[in-house]
Amino acid sequence: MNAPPWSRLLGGPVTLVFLAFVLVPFVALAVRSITEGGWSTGLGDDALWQALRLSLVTSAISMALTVVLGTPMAYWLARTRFRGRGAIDVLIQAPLVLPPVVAGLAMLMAFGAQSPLGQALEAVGIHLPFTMVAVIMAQLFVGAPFFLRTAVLGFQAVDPVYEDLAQTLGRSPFGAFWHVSLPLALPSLLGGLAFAWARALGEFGATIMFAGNFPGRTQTMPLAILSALERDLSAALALAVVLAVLSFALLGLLAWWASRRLAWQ
Amino acid sequence: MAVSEGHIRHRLGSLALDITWRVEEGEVLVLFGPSGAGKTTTLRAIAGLFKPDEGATIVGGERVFESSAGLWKLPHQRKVGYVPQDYRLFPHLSVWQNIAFGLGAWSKDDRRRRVEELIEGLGLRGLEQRRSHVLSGGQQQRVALARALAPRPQLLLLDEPFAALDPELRREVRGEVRRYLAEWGVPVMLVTHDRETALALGSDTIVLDEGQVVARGAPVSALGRPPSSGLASLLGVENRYEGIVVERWPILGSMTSKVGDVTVALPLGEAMEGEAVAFGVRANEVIVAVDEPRGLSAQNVLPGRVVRLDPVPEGVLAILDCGMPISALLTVQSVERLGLAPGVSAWAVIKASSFALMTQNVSRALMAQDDSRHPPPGWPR
Repeated sequence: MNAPPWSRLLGGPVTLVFLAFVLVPFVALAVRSITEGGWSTGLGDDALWQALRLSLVTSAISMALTVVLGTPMAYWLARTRFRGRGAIDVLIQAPLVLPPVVAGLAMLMAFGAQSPLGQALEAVGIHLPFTMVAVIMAQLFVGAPFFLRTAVLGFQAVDPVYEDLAQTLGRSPFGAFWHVSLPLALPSLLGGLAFAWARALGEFGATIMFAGNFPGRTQTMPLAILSALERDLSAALALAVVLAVLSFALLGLLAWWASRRLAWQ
Repeated sequence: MAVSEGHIRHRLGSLALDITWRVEEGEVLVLFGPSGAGKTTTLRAIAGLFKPDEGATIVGGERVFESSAGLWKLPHQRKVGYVPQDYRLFPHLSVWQNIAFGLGAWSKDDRRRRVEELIEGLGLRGLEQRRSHVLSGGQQQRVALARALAPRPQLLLLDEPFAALDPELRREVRGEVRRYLAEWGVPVMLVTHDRETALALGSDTIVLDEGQVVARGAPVSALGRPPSSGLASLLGVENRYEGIVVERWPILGSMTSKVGDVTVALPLGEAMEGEAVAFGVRANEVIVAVDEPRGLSAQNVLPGRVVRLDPVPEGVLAILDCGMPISALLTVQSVERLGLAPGVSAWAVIKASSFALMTQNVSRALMAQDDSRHPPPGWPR
């Protein structure tokens, strides 16, 4: 397939400009992080390691929840039709368009000590705002929709005939899902997970509103970068590079896994 | 291997499905009809993939569906092998894994032995590690057959098994499949809209149209030997009659019926004495004689006279009045040689087996129809 001449003339140069637009900041970040010499202070700072650990732990938990709960949910949504189904689709994706800061404020209003729900939880000894649980909730809120959307599409792309076949071959309905639909939709699930995870790692707005910025408790990498910036630009640069590399590594790993699964298609 | 049989009634939009079927070891029951006739729906219901409104199903002697008793077994609780259209090999698995898929509950050794046996038997040696997308159509079909046969089903369901193959390959593969089916001996129910497939593989045929059984019996009699395919040509049978059954001869596989004053010998159907029977015969199955023929094996020799001669693309359609109208397709040469003209006396000769029974509504119990089956010559029993 060949792009028509007008598209080559327009699209080609624009693509180059955009690539430069995306790459230049990365290069600048990497170069400045070295020239500023903040690596020793940045890496020597306990706050960095705390934030890194917290980011990894919370995002791992929120992604585990996303996969464990989101997979059956996406499968059900992919296989059912009913009145009001469209409304569910819109609601599920609402967090994608909601600014995270707004989402965080909304969660605070819902689960905060002032709200009836928050007071009810408080009464049974559960305190959510400004805790690690709040960090996880914020990540779930903004990350899960990315996974759900691609997972639903992935399951819809699996022809139900394969499940029928699996059942005539002695698999229970769940066995058919587990041995056929799940492996066939896996590339989509991994792709969705990669974006959801990257989104959760970078989550800032909802976290700072709902969970606050407490080192060691709720201060994830993005929040740590902000805090570091207030004291020392060089340390902030080092942290930023670490976070960028981590995000790319995760995304790359999941994409590589997905492409291996896709090799047979 | 025990008998599989059942009857199913279901309303699905405008389709009112009503079918009774029965298939035994070594038999291939062909469900024949145009698309939308309810063939695939029937197969899916038998496999347990869709629950019909009412009916009963027995697979390999085991009751798996009985609407009156509220019995409904899921597909994995039925011993049914299913080969869907386009075969649908699992794309994420190798040939070996595809075949082994249904053997999850078997021991490792048994599983390996069974898969090897099928790979050998179906000529798949060397392809074990391949993925489905690199296989040819014929190879895919054999893998799909092996996969369905692996858990030793009591009934094998084939949905349009050759539709995905080009005509040349189809003939070849059909021969192979016929050999394999005879070898494994598993009863088969096969859905097709291809007349050749029905004639080549079927030992018994049910012709479905809009959910209703319109003909059944041995493929040659149920389908006739018309040139084109599809039910249109079956419904385009030139001679169609309704009569009353006079006498039944289950041992001879025939019965006699009266149409007006004329008595006709027919293949045995399920209609009882005194009941109505609808049947037909294609014009090219009718032989015309100008002198009274004697010593014929054909049971129907009906005296009458020529009413009209209509030129048609294939030759001449001679319309005879033998107490009932009979159209015979003749060549122009035959018409000249016999000196046929309106008013001339003539005899229509029709073999009983040339008549196809067309049942309007087979809600009547058809379980007692075994005596009406006659497999085509050479069919392995």
